[in-house]
Amino acid sequence: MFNNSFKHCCSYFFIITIILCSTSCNQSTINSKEKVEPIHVRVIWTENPSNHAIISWTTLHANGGPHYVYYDTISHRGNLKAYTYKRKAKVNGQITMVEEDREKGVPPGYYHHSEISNLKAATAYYFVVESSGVISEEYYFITAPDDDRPVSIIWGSDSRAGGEREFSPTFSKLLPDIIENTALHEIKGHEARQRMNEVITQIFEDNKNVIAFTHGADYGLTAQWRHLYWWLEDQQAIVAGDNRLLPLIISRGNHDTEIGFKENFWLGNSIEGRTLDTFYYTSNLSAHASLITLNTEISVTGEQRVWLNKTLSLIRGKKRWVVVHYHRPAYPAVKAFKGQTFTRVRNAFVPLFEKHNVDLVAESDGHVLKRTLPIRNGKHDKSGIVYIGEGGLGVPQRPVTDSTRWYVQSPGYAISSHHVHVINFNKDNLHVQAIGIDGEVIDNFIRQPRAKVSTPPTSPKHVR
Amino acid sequence: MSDKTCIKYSLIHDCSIAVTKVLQLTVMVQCIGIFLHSSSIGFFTDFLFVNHSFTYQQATAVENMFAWVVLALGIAIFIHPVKLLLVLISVLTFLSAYIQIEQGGFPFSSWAIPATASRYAAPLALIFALNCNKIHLSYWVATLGLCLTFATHGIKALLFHPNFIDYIITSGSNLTGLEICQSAAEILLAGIGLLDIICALAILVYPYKRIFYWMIFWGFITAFARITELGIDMYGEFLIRIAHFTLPLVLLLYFEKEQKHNSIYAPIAQ
Repeated sequence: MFNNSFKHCCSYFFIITIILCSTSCNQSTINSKEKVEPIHVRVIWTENPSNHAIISWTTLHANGGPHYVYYDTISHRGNLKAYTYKRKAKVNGQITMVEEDREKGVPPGYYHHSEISNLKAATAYYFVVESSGVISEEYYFITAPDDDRPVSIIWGSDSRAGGEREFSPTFSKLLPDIIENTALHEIKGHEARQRMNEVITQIFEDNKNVIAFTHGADYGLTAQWRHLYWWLEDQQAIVAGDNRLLPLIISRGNHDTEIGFKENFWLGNSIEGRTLDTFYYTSNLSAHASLITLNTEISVTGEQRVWLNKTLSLIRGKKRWVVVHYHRPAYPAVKAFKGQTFTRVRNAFVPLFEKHNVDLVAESDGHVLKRTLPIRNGKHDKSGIVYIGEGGLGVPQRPVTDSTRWYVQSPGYAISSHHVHVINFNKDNLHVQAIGIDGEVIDNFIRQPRAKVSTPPTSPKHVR
Repeated sequence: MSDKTCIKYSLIHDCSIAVTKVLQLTVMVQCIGIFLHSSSIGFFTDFLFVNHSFTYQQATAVENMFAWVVLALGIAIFIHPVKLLLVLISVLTFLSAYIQIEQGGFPFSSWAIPATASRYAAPLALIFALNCNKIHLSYWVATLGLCLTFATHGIKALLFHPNFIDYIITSGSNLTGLEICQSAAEILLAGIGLLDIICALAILVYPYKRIFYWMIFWGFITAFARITELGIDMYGEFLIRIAHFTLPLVLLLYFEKEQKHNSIYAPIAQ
């Protein structure tokens, strides 16, 4: 009797396991034709984007070096000899692949990162990258200003692709259509992410103040190559018609923990010599605007918290605008408020935000769109801090089944909608907009400056 | 039946009752923990909704069903342990670990199966404990489960799991008012990790009473660290880890039984 029951139980478990295993995705296979030209060319900003940038790219062949960036303040249309500056890639290597990456057909990739510095502020830099004698198209980007002109950033997060596309062919044959159709009612893959990238490109082209695209993390389901490859492929669409690239400011999320993340997003060292592979740092967007990137995937009460307190003490009196962003929310709109990670982030970071009166906080992870009431000491307070975001760059959006949480009451809200934010740092106000997947404005509000900036702004002195 | 056999069976019976009760309580409390965890964070929702394009309603329905079934099973086996239900609890607990690996999203998520081994080992150990002839299997299932859990946590500690650093820093501050810096927490973690691994190996090759006492104490402290770090709201996180200190208790009971048996058996043999 028991033996039979046990066998049945084992059979059911086996079937469930087969279902779970077989639902993994079959990403479209890469064309096997070997690509030799550099791809995924991107500009990464870290602490001082007015005079420093990292140029990164991928190659799909192992033909060795040399790997160079050629750059100048005027366009030379790829004529290598004409460029004034040339930098060798500082970090190169093969991107780690696991068995699933090979099964999904992504080709082996190689990362290349080059650091360029001593740049002029608010200046267009034209560049090409060269790998093994093959050069890319010429792109350009504009460095951040070091004066007090208005600047804007695009901020968004959670761009991991949606549901996997189909059951495995073997399993699909076995499964009755009616079950398959019910289980896979609406397969969108990464269409939503691609659509959001189009929206970002449109904003970037329309708003000349936009200087960077800040990603609040979770780029893919994992940071393994089959997920990052497709993210980088889709990311290539964010380029203006004149080949202007929008520099990226990178943070790390809970689905970005694999080694592939550090391989593809190399940030070098901080100005004071600290390695930035901890993914917490301050980006000076202009003389009066700072963006602090935090990392909720490492200890939040240790060195990071000490650093945050010190950094806020240093910059709060000097900057009109201090905005903070990170991945796991302190005030989740839909996930459990008392969840372990959220409580930890709330206990570690929020008291410092309130002590130093940061102007805005952007959070991710929940897969909804939110704006909170201004919060201080765990309750609504006009002098408090507004938390926006929660992640809508392509990941399927959760329905908001419970909107009774006190901190998302009007004028705050929590809704289900793909979105990206535009944060405009003006002299008189901080203007925040949430833009939907059709380019529509979903939210629009301003925050008044509260920092009494006593000293006139000075240009950043650090030269790398 | 000889005197020797009578004594042996009497001891096994007494021990078995105590072990059964401890394991029944463990499995029930653990099921409550899984229920709370599933209701608040969710094992299945993201996995089915985000990764596999189920509708949110379908995903939450599966989640709720899972949570309530586990809770009902936990209560049922506390009232009357049925082997089939215990197998089911073990399978569902294992399934939740598997989903954690598939879903990811937290440090060392790919290690969920060995890390949570004591959770799905506890119901299996109970199945064998219900049968006096299979007590030795109960002992070894509990030993292996505990060994995997302690060894995995030990390695995580050696690799400076970020949450463990936060447990030490915040619990230290909450309990003693001391400010522990990250580097001190990391040194402490290295020692803790090493000790966990030694304990995990010791119960396999050289089981010793004091090791079980230590594992009961340490299993409780580390499970309770969720509460000392972030407050009583984390009781679900504590409950789900009850096997971390009750399985060493079970092993201690078995071990003491064995020692008692040997001490009585020795004079008879002479």
